[in-house]
Amino acid sequence: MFFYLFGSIINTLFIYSLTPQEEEDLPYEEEILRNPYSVKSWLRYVEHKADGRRPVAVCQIYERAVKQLPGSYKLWYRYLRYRRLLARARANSPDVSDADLQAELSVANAAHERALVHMHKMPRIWLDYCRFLTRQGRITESRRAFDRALRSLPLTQHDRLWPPYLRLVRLHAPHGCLETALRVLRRYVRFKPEGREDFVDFLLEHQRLDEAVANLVAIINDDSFQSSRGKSKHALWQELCNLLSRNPLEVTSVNAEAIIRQGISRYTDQVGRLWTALAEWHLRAGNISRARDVFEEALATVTTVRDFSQVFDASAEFEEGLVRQLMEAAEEGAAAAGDSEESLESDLAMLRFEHLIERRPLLLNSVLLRQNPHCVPEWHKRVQLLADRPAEQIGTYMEAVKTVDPHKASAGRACTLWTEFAKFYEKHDQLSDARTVFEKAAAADHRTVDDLAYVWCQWAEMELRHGPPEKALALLAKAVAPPSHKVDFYDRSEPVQARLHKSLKLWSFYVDLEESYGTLATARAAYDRMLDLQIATPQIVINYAVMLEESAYFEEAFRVYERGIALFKWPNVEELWKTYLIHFSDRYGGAKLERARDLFEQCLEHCPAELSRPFFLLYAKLEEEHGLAKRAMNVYERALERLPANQRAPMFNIYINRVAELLGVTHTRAVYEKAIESLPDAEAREFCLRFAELETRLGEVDRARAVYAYCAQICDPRLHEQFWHAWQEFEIANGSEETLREMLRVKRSVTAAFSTQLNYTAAAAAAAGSADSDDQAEDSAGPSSSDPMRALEQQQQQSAQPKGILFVRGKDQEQPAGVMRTAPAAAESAASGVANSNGAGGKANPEELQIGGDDDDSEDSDAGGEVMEEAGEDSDGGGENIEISELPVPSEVLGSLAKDSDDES
Amino acid sequence: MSFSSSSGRLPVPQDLLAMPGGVGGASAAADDPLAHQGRTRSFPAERGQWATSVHCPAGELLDELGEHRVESWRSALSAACHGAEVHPVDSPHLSLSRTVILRHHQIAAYTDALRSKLADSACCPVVADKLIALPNDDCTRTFFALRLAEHSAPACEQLVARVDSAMSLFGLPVYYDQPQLHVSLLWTLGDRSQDRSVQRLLDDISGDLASSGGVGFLADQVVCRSGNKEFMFSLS
Repeated sequence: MFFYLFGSIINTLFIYSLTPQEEEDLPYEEEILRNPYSVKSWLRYVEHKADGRRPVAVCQIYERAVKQLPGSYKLWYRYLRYRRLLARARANSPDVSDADLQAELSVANAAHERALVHMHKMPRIWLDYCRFLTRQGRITESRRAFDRALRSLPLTQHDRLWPPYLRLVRLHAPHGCLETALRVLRRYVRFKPEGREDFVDFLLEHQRLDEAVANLVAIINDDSFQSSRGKSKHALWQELCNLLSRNPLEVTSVNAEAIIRQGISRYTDQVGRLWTALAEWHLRAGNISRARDVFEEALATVTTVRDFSQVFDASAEFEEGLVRQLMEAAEEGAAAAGDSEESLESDLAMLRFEHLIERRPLLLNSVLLRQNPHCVPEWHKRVQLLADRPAEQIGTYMEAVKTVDPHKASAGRACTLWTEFAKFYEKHDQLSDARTVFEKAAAADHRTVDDLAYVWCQWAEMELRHGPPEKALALLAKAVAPPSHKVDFYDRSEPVQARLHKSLKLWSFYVDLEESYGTLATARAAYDRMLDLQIATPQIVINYAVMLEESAYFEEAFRVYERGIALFKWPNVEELWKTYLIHFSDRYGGAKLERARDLFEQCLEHCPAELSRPFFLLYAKLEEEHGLAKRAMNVYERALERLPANQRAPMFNIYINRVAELLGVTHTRAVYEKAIESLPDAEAREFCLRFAELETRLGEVDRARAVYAYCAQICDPRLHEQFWHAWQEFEIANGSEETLREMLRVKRSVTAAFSTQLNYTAAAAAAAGSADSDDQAEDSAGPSSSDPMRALEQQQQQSAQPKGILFVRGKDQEQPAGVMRTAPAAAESAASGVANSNGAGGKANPEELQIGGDDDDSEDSDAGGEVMEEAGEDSDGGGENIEISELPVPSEVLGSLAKDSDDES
Repeated sequence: MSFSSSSGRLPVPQDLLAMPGGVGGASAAADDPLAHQGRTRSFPAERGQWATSVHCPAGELLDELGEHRVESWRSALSAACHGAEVHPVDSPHLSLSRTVILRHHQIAAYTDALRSKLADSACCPVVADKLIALPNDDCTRTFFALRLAEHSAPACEQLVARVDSAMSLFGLPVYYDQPQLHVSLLWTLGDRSQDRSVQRLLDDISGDLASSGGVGFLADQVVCRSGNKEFMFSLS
């Protein structure tokens, strides 16, 4: 209270000695007097004063305000800001002395310090202060301020402080403050572990590798760590390994080897790189032999070719570098004084290098085998690589047969490993050992029975190569011995050894050997067992039978055939039947005709039609040679009924030949007739021609003509010129004019008949294009009546023709009548009497007209008049116009005949 | 990897030898001579190998001799062999062939062949008048057998010839060149045929037999024994 009164008295005293300016302040002072605790009034006062002329006054007012209200953030904040602005303005103005500035700054700083007595929980104040100090370049003070701020503010607000703090220490770290910076950063990392990555970078930047590695390890070990840069654990590992391997000496806090090895076991896709890194680590640490060990270990453990080549290249490079280094040293040494020890060392290094290069294929092979130990070809390759080291080859074989699981074997058969193993001993003349291998192989597991059979066959072949065949025979007999219980060959649950006795391969080899080296009885027993086991093939049956036949056991052989035939179905049995029937006929000929016939009947009963031809021929041959011709003919007849259409024609040929030979030519007539009747058109034409020829030869001209006439119905003159030519030739040679004319008439009518058919394809048209004029006439005239589409097309073409021949369609195109009438008159005067000769008058049938295009007719009727009417009647006249110019070809052929006919008429 | 090496030869890995295998190994390994009175196999028992022999059963001969006579011979021979055990033969027979090996698939064919060969053979009366000692092929056992009398041998030799012809069809060994047709009654281990004491005893017994006119039986069937199967062929 006293204080208050005292204050107001002072104020009153001021009023009485006032400058005009001070007078302006009076209302404010009074308000303050009235309300000394009102922030608003203080601020208003400051606002009033803040015109920039007297900053000291403003500061005074602020000072008074904060004295009065020390807990007001608003006031302090504004005051401090004002101070800072003031200081900055001072700093920027050129006419302020350094001492003044420093004084100003220290006053500002002091103001901040005073503010912080009350405002120490205000992060804004702290931040501003720290920044202010930093800007002043007072490093230690700003650091301390930051530290104090961190201590005063709760943890949740540290987020705001750290970035400028870090900026500060980073800024000054290179200038002698590294240790301080590190300490600050370490604190920061403890506050915020995510910042580790940055810390690591910082450490690396300043060559603090050991700590960087330790931090990296910490990052990697921290399962919850989330990289702010999106780096994966894997990438961090790589970074770590790189660091470790590059700086083996600097990094002491962690066990680098253990870390890299862990990486190798964890990151299988980087194995090659990591191994190389480990070796490099040793190398840089100066531990050459350890590095070499690591390389060796790596080469012995990597499982992919990529890693292998990476490690191998690094290893080779390392050895090569070593050699070069030693050589250089040796050269220098030699210059100084000849030292044998050094040259020895370099020789040793050279040898090591060469040895490594030499081993490359083998090592690579090892890699592939580690990758897939069941890869048979790789094992074989390995043996080849070890070509001059038999002991190691044996070791490899042994390992192969022990390692490879035949059920998993890829790209090859595991059994070949066994056989090659045995052959290896055989090659070295150790038969007994080879036999041991085979024995083990025979007892070993195999994927299929075939594999096991292969082993046995190879074994037997070896015995054959080296001893009496009896040994091989006994061996195979052992192999095919049946097991004590019944086994299904296809039962996969049974071991292959139990199913071996039904292996076709083994039995085939066995019977082969029995046949060559055993007795007939033993061979027969073997073959019989094969048939019993139902593993024989038709070829085996045939072999068996042939063997018996060779030993003159014919009936036995035939019985074997019968057995085989009962075993197999069509069409597999075909070969068997064929052999059987041929051999039977050869053996007995006609002696057992009835039996042979039975056999043939039996065979043909189930024989599919398309396979039956050879049997029919055989049958017929048998009948011809030993039986009755009539029966043979019967067989042919049956064959023709049975055979599919495409096999009939050759059969007819044979039949006709046989009939001609056996019964005489005249009997072939019936056959020909039948052939023509039953065969498809194309083949029927052939037969017709031959039939006609035959009749001609026999002098039966009428018959021949009838044949021609019959055949004409299936011979389109456009396509089968040959036939018509043949007929014409025939008529010229044997016929009269009348018959010739008859033929031509037939030809016309046939042409007409075919022309109505629409299946006159493009190909046929092309063929006809090169053909006779008949066809052209047909082309232009015929279709116009039969095919509306073609007619339209034609119309189109003609309308596109030059004006000169427009008369063709004059009527339609409304040409002057005179033109239309005169032009045809000139063109058609010769073409003339088609209509006349046909007697069809003005309204002629178009088809008839087209037939009339034939030369004979036109010549017959060249006296015909009434051209105009005709030509005007139909546009086809235009077509005929063309016809006439091209027709002479046939008329030349029949020149004399045509003249004759003229004379007659 | 260890090797069992011998000089100059390439070694065979021990691992290989240790692997299971060896054909018919299991049954060969189980072969124990003590299990059958010290007899040893002349060829290993193997799957698919059928020991086959052809003989005429001679059980009647034993009946005619009487058990006690054979027993007395046995004890006497045992004494002559210095106490070695002498065993009676289980089923006395007149062997017509050696013991041969047939394959399983050959048995049927072989018996068929044998049947056809023996088809028209007649029964032959067999008379034995001499006890002799015969060692087997590899001299591991000696058989004491009744030898056929001179006059009854030819008929039996004919049978042997027929059996031989069946054997040769299959490429199998035929009977001995100069067959000593006999019916084994007793056997003992080792070759005792040259023992003086045994010889003397045998001569004595043979003398007794000869004086009594020998013993005989009618061989009216031939048996082909193959493994555990028996095929009978009756003679007309």
